[in-house]
Amino acid sequence: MSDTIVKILGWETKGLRIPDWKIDTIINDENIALILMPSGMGKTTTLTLLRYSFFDYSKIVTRSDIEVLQSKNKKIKEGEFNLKLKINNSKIRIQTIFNFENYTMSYKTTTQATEGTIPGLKLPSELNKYIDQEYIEKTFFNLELVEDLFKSSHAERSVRKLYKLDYLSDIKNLLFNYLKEQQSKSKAKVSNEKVNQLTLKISKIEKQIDLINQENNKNQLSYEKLLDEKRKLEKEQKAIGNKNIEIKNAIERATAKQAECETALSKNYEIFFNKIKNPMNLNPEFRNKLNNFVKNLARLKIPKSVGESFFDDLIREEECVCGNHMNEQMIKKILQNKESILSEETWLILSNIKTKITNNNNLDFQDISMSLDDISNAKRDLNISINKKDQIETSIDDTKYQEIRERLINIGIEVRELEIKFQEYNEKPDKYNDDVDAKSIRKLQSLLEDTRAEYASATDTQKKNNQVNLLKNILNEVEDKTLREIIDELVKKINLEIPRVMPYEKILVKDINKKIELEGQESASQGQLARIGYLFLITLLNRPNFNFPFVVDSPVTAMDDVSRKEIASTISDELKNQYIAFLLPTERDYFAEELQNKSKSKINFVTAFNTFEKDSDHLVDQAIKCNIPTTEFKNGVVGYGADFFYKFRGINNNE
Amino acid sequence: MNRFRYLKNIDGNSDFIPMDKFFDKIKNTKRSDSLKFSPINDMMDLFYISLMIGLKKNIKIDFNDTKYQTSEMTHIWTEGLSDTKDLIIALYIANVIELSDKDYKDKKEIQELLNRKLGNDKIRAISDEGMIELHNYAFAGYIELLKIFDNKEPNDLFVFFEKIKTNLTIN
Repeated sequence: MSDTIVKILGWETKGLRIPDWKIDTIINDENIALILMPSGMGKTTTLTLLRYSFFDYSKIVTRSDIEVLQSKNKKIKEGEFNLKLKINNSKIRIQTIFNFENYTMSYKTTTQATEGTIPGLKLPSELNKYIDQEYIEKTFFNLELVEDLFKSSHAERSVRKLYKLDYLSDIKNLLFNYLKEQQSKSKAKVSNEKVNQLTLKISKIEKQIDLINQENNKNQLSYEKLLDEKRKLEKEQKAIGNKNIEIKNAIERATAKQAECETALSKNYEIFFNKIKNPMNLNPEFRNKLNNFVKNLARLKIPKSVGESFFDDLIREEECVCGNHMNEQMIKKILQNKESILSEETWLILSNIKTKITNNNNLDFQDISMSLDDISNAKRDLNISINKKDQIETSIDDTKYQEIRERLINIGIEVRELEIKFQEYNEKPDKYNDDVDAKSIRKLQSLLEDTRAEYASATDTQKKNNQVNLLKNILNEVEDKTLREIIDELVKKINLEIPRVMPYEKILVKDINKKIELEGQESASQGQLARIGYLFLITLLNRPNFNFPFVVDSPVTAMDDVSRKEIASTISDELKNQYIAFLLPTERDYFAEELQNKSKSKINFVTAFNTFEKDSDHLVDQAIKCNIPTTEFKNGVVGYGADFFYKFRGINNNE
Repeated sequence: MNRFRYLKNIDGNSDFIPMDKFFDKIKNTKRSDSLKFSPINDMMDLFYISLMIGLKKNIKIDFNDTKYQTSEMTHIWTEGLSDTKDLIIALYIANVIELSDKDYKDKKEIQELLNRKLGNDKIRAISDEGMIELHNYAFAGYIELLKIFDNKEPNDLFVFFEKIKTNLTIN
């Protein structure tokens, strides 16, 4: 099979929030393009537009997704992004058109093969088997979001999607459709009304499963975003708090005190409940009742057991112990009396009970009221400690700090609400579970299985139902084993690379169990995560017979000089595909030079900025000094070459 | 009766709060600001509290009445109640004896009753008949508990325990 090689030649933009300009990523057969852009000048927007060009997002995007692309000049009602591609030897142009009146998007495709322009996004068929939304979102990646791979189920989801494991779910659905078809043809054993009821029930459960899965996915995304925001805000808040050492120490002390009070409150609740769990502590009436019970049993000489075997042996004898011949009447009487004599088991249970009551009676009556007072006091102490911490925080005279504080409180509420929903989603089914509107996926799946079995029985298709279930189980097993093998292989490959990319850090990938798990440590620095994330993506996206560009926004964000160099080495050694990176001026050092030195491929250095910002004159001056044409585009400058790329300083000179 | 059960619904009582829903509002939840301190970890803890109320007030429902819909829990006493299970059973059995023979006069009757109610399961320490009756007390106690809470789910752990304490300790 020959390779499919895809190269991005460049793009043109018109009528969008970013300048109307043309950027060429390949001028002279370069395999790497480094595009330097100051912050806020459209890196992320361009990455989004590139994503839109490879997968039909027209049905997925929201109004706000399109709004963020709209030019600040609201008179412009249409914008477009034209992407030039080379797929093997054919050139292709994808036009993504944005309508800012009704906030929709559409596509046009121009190919050499058709020698004309046709509506819609029409990529060659050989690309379709690889490209889906997940593939596009990982291939056009914002490294600032690398942490996502280490939390929730992002990493595993990517593996599943990119290795097409979802096809197995499609097969399972086909099997169930086949079963339904067969069942509709078979002769029912029960009334039509019953069959219809079951059909309706199955359909309701299936719809509810889809609905709660969609909701759960949405909630997961919101949850991750919230946690992300929380982490960033906490970091920011800490940085502001740290400016004043006195405040910093006071917050630390208050936090420690709060933790101490929380432990005390938990302990007091535990003590109180343990007292409640002893009925003899609850009230004197219970205590008296139990003592009375023991006293009266002792008076009656209960428990005193006579082995049941004694009676059994007795009725088997011809003669009673009194010497009389054993007749039927006597046997009946003995059996009757046997009932009123304590059985050995009852005797044993009763002995334990008596011992327990006696032992507990010897203990002092433990006052529950006092324990409740202790809880009350612990609660008060906790509230004081929380208020104290709150006071310290509110006294920080910094508007930003206070804004963050308020937002963090609201995030906390939102996070808790979502966690309750997740709990509900994962709730275990019980035997009497019959709620088709349940919010728990486990309950619904179990109910679906039971209802399908009931339906199979009603339609006399148990055999087919069992066969389909058997196949479903086999496919589940195949899915699990395949995923395991893919993950093991990925982990092996990544771990082979880590010692080279991160020579000074003892860190390895342990597993990809929903998320990427690290060996020996639960957390890592942003730089470590970025480098491991890079290796994960490069390994994941490297496919035999398919060579697709890897486009990264903020490629070495939050990395130190060593990490930047090592990432550059990884890219030059490992990545065979076209590589396009959108860099901030602050990311250039140690990364661009290293890539230039190590890479066997030529590098296209691009520097771009818009000219509608207030401070852009300063940038234009820099371009003029480097002989970069500044009037080619009406609201932006695009300069090529290493000279301007390395000399360019951002809006702040320290960039 | 193999397992302990909880009261899930009562036909014709649309206001009824199922035990599992009530339990959700008092059980330990690490992520909740107030429930992260809760010592209640198992629905059997709520069953125990309900049973104590039922025994204290000496009220019972009829477990076999089909209007009471129940669902299964554990088949043995939970770890949290293992220390106290003998006292719970004793309190129940003492209650039953006192109802028929307050002064413990009829030894034969009492022995028969003990055999019937305690049964032959050493771990569970209560027979099927005893289990059903225990549930009769516990479920009636739970219905009473809902009344104590004005048929609303509890929204404060401390208030919950305060009300439980008041209702169980004061004669």
